[in-house]
Amino acid sequence: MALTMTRTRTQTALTQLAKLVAEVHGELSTVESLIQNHPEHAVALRKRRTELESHRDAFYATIKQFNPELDPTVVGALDGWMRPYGRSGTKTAIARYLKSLSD
Amino acid sequence: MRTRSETKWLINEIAALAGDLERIDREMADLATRRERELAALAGQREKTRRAREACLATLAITASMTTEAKLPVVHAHRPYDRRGGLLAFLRAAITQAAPSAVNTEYLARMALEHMGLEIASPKEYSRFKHNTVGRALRRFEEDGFVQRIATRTVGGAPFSAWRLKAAIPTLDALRESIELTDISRMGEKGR
Repeated sequence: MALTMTRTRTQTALTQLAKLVAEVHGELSTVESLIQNHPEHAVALRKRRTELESHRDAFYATIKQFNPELDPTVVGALDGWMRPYGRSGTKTAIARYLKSLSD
Repeated sequence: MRTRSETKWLINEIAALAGDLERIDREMADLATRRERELAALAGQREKTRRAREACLATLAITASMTTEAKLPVVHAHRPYDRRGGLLAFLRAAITQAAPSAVNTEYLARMALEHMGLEIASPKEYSRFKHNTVGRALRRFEEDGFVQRIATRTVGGAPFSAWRLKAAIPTLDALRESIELTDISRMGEKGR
């Protein structure tokens, strides 16, 4: 394994890291709104939220290590994280997601 | 009555030795505080580095499902240069010290080799070091706006460039503006 990466691989690495941050942002905001609307799953949702927050902190620190001049907080939100549960935003997807949390 | 010679010598010698003892005690205390400060600085570096590594390990576990059970290698690739970024740091310091004079890759390469005790096996390796390592560093510094390239000079037909710390030289317009701002009333007077 070469120790220095080519420019392409460096760019790709940064893109993937940013995508990770965006998906965590997206899932966090969804979980927040779900806590409001589905109080019956509040316990599992809160646990997931703490988990996501620790993931987010790890990703922020990783991006800072990648390049200290970048600010990971400006990354937006993506909803690609919901793809395994169905088409994003649909009720069935959300139901599957809530079910997976409770298991 | 005169003091006896040996008495006088003894008293003087004892006093001087006491002075020496105090000096040595002071040096020991200074060294101890310096050592403490350096250890604290290193401990801070260690903590920062450890936390960054933990974050990267966590990210690796999340994204690639590669848990820490996997034995990850240790790399000391930058040992000849003291640490990661060691050569760049040295070059930056050398350029800053030389300012406002300009430097070229030959000068920087010689300084780096001497300072870091690097060994070059052949003249080809030396020329590659100058062009690839030092040259790339200088070009990178130029991109970052840290140094500026000065007009190339030709020596015996081969052109080479000199580099120096980027000086904050204002453009002519900026100079004019600053003059106008400071003293509009005097603008019309000549021979002031």
